[in-house]
Amino acid sequence: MNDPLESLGSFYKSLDSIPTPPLFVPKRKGYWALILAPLTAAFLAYGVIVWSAGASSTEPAIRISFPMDGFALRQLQDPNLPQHPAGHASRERIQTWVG
Amino acid sequence: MHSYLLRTRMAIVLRIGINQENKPAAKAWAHQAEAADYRELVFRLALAITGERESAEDITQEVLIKLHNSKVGKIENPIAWARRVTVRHALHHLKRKRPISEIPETLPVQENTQEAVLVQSVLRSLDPEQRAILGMAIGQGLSYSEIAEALSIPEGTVGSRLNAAKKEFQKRWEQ
Repeated sequence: MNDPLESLGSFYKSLDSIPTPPLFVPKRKGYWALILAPLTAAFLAYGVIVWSAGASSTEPAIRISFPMDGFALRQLQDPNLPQHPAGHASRERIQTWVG
Repeated sequence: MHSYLLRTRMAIVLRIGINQENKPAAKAWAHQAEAADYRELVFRLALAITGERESAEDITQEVLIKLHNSKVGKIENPIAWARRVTVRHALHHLKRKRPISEIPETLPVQENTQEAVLVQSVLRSLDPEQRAILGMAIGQGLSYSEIAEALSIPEGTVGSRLNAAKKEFQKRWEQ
């Protein structure tokens, strides 16, 4: 058998064949904030643009909404159509809204 | 080696074209560069002390996390600091009492010879401090001053402890 210290030396040398493990990259605090912050900023900017475009529009504030929409159109085509039981705007007002 | 680390850091920082002191992204890059450079040093030292691959990987991870969380730029000698922390973690790892079933059966070496098995069993029977000093001196070829710094002991003590560890190893080998 070899000299013990020689064997120890060759044992340590054999450890060199073991590859170094891959780099550990820890997650940094605020990592998600870096992604979410620009997305939030873009969303808010889009909202401000849409809101300001809407505010400056000349469209009437009141719009005909469904299901009144379909009923109003039918009423325009047929003046004899009875008024909707729920009751709503007059024919003249509907004509103003539609155009 | 320290200047090499600084050059690597600066090269990466310059490549991404931002000021390291002000930008968190640059700091993250610098941290990764540092971790990449210290990884080899830490893993080899931990492997020499423990003689077990899994343990060395665990220690490397712990030390790199510590490195990541500390301000390495303000440490005077980061290499010595990394060695000291690695040795401390390795000693703590060896001192933990583990049941026999947890000790890995397979050797880290590819040549699973009878001699390698004997060396490892003798190493396991030694004190953690003796294993550490043998690993640093014979395994890593560190100087007495480097070992003294890593173990936080006087340089004169290293020689006597190393001789005692060698004698103990030879004694147990012959038993």
